Amino acid sequence: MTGRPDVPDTPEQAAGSHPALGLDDVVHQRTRLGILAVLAEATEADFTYLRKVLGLTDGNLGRHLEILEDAGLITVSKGYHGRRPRTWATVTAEGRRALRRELASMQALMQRLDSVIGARGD
Amino acid sequence: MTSSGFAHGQPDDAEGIQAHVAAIRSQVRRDLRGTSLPLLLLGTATVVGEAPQAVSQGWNTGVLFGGDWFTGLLLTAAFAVLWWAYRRRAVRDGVGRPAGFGAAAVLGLVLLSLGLLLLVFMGPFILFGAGLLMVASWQRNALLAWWAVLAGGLGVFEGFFGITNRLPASVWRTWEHPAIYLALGILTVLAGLAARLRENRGK
Repeated sequence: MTGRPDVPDTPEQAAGSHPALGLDDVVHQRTRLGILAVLAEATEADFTYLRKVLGLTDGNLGRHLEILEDAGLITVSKGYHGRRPRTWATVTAEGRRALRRELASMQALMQRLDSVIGARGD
Repeated sequence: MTSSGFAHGQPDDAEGIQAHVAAIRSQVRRDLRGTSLPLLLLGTATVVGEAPQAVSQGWNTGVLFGGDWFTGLLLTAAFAVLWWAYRRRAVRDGVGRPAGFGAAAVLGLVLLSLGLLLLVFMGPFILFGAGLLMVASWQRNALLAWWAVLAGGLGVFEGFFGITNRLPASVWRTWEHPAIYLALGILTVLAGLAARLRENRGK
């Protein structure tokens, strides 16, 4: 299990009904999905890098980092480089799993839509 | 580094979101050079260490403090340089971390001193393979892991003359052993170049 009882572990578990049920509200939000995508590649990134890559304001990014941290998908640590304060975000194992699940669920959703459209001959 | 524009004017549909996620991931890959740089540097270290031995028909090959030690020293230096480069990037650009490279350099120092016999018997690719595998697991980089297993495995196999003994020649030639290491080094450089092209194309 994921430790988050509202979230199915795999798209297949959610696929009993509809793939959209496999989408996780915390992860599915576009900005948070972007943050997880950056961290899945880099493992660790600082506030300034995330802000530049995702084109966000300080307040907006801070709020989304807080939500992801509360969900246990990332950890946030603060430190200094010289006299400059820096905030680092690191993806957790659960964060990586959540991103994989989300992308798989979206893929399943698109395939389902494609097959429905194909069957109707639209 | 350019902004992907993910937060502004981005689509809501699943296909559009997936494309944006892919664009972000490829941009981070370009910023990190996480696959190409290690392969290029380690491959170059192997080529520089083995080319003189292959050309001079295997001087020092298999001898304590000989060829394997020299290539091992260069590989250790390459891991140390990679650790320094990725640490500098993490501090300067705020992305990535040098996880694994420092441990691989320490492994090299241990093999060059305490584990010298292991290095001589198994060849320099024990350091190449084990070090790169450590880096790959810390960095969660599947391509580096594959290359560590493939090139490292072949190199260690050759450390026991596994390939030279199977060559279709009745006479064992001294340059063959370093030439095989050299070939693996050249292949690693080519793999690094291919990885660099892939990173530039954003895949």
